[in-house]
Amino acid sequence: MKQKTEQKKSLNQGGKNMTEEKSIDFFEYFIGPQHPGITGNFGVILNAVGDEIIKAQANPGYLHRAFEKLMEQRMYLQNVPLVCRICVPEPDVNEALYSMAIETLTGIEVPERAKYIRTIVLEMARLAAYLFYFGGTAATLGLYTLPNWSFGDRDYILDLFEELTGARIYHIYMQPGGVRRDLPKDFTKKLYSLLQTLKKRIKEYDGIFFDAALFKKRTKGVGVINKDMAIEYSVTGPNLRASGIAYDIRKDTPYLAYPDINFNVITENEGDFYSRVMVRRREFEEDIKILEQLIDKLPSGEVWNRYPMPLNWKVEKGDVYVKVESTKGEYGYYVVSDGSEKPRRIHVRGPSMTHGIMLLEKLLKGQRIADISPIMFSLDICPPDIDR
Amino acid sequence: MSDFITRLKNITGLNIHKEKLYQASLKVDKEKIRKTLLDLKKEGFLQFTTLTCIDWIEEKTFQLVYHLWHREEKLHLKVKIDIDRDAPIVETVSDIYIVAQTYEREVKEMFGVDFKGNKRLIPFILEDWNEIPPMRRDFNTREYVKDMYETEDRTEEIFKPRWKKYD
Repeated sequence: MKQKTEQKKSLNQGGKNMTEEKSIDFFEYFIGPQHPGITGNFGVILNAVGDEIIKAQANPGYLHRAFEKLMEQRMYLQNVPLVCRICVPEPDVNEALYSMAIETLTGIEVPERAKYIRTIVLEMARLAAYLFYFGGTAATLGLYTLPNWSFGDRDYILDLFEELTGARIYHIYMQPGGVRRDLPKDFTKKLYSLLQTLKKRIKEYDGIFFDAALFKKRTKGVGVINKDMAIEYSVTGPNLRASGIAYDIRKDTPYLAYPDINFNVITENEGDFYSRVMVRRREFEEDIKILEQLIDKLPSGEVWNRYPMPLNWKVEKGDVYVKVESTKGEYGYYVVSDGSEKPRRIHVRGPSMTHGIMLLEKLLKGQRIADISPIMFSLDICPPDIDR
Repeated sequence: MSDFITRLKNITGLNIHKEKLYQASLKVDKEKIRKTLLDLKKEGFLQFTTLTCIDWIEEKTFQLVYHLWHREEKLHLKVKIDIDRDAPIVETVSDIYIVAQTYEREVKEMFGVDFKGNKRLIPFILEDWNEIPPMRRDFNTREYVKDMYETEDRTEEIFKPRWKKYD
């Protein structure tokens, strides 16, 4: 802690010695990078008067692994196991985007079944990420029952991932041209029964958390992002929909199997903490419906179209920006190829770059210190995609 | 989308190329970037998606790509400018799009491009960095790691045979 002090000179007046007066303008606090209330390796430097924050400064960089630089030095296929490590809670979007970008540049077709399997994986990852989010948000408010429930339920999804891909977190399942292998036997049946369980469970979550008076009183009107502010700060994803703007990349510029699927874009109007949580809670049910449709419509056929020999695979000169809707917002990859075996530049556009720095600093100003973690968790900031 | 591009061409007088996946690209001079982005914001490009810097070391240029998104017309526009690699200075757009400030901070740190007028080009990720900006193509990561973390070369010691030779 650093103190900014103003020392007033002691004055000698009429033989009296006046005592030194000190006045403290503000205290400087360092929240994070090792703090249970912070999402990942991330810090916030605060200036606070009493309990009120007068200035907040985001302090990223504790997890920088220079992936973008590393990807320039590796061949196209060598990057497939690397990209998923950029975002820890939702790694599959990276694999999907990297594959989509290369397919667009080279013109490799993806089989219809592979598109559906990719969408199933993305939606399962979305459910897992939302369960993680519910647990994290409840824990910041001191309600520790929901994290125990939701992290446990998330593990059922991870078990299915393990059966499908051989790994729980980093799947390395999608590759240019399709997916690595077909669904195992009875996978869709197991997934369907898990979805039915989750449908019942989310009702139980309502009773313990989403309908609780404590949660409503604590979160309504905290950290409000109104419509104009959301547009000004280029907010995307569920945070934008919580401010009342119905914009979803899956609906507006559909990719993979989303053109065949019917679903609603869910919005809330207030743009506060409560709306941001409730948008995700209602989307959770919508995603279960999407997964059920995907299981019903799953076509048969091949799951992978062969790409050229990877050791001298030269991708045509050009550039492309691809994007998907992740649980945190718009996730994009900008791939530039110069016609050689290695990419010239791969730029990862993570949603947290806009939400986690400028928007967070703006929202924290004027709030209490106890509101830092709830606001941060409600925005669903994922520092690994700032420090990629 | 094509109608919108022709309308945009007529209004702003810009040479926009249509590409696949809801995309279009546009190349302007370095001096005109502020005016172009101001015009495009008036036309409804409200979302500043990202800012990319590409190091074309052979041509001695940095290419800056400003990604803008039009929500109603569903158009992703890539505005590209070329700047000199030896004197990389460009005017900021952080007062037109607020979030550009963060991206400019990152590009400044990783490529050494200076943004004139950005009020907050303070250190972002790197700490106590004395080398050339690390994302430039001529920054050798292997050399850096060798100098930074491996003080002595122990290759021979590690790979020499461990067994004793008996005559």
